[in-house]
Amino acid sequence: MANYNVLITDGTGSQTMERGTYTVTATYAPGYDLTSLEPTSYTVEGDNSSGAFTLSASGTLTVTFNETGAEGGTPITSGTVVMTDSSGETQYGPVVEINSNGVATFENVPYGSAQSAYTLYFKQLTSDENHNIYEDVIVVGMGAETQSEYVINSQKTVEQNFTLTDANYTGMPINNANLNFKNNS
Amino acid sequence: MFCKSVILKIFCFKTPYKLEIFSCDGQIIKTCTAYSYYSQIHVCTRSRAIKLLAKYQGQTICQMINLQSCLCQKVFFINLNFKTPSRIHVTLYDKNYSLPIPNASLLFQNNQT
Repeated sequence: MANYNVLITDGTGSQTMERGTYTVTATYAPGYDLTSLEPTSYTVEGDNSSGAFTLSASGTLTVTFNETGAEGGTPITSGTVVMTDSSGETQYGPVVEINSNGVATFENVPYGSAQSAYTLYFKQLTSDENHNIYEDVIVVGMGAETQSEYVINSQKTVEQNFTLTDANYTGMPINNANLNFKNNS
Repeated sequence: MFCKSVILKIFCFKTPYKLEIFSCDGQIIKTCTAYSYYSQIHVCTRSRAIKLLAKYQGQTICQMINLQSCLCQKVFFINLNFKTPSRIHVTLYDKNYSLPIPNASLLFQNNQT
């Protein structure tokens, strides 16, 4: 009775094999825990039958959304973000909440090494009322089991209208002037 | 012990398959590849028995043929029934994010091996 090695590309593979019951092990899957394969048994009953398997990973990614996109910036206070494909169009897994410190945590993500990072993609869906979302796809190279990243969310601007008139001749508009507004925050 | 001459008439509907014939002390007597449903192989041996190994697409059928009473029976009819392989389709996804795993390898080990 023969054993078979099935190669998986982009989540799928196929193989011709004899009928029978097989013990299945993952022998190669960069970024993933090979011992987490489920299920570990498969029975070939008929032609063109299908088998669905899963693997888990153990990496943790922490993403902080703030006004600078770097450590120490003013964080946003709420929002949502989700893992996607490289185009940002297809979403994978649950939508993750951004907490009041601007932090979103993704558990059980695949990871590689500093020399060969595992690339992950994310899309920010919402930010808080005072900030704009990061519009582009967020690309993260997971090069370690635990990793932190920062993403910039600029402050929102709102249109304001001002008038400047003469204090002694009510209503007379001042023709040519300049007002400077300095942020006290 | 004198040399026995036997004829093996082999029927098999799955081709091509490889045939290996061994004496009882493990010496290989003859090898060939059969391309037709019917094959006739002539074997001359001093061995008390011969072992026939037929191989097709990873399957192996083993058959022992006792030649001790071969004085009066020189022709043996053998039917080889290889199993029809099935094609399976496999998916491998991330358990937590349901995303397709881009590059992996799964080993399927037959429990009857």
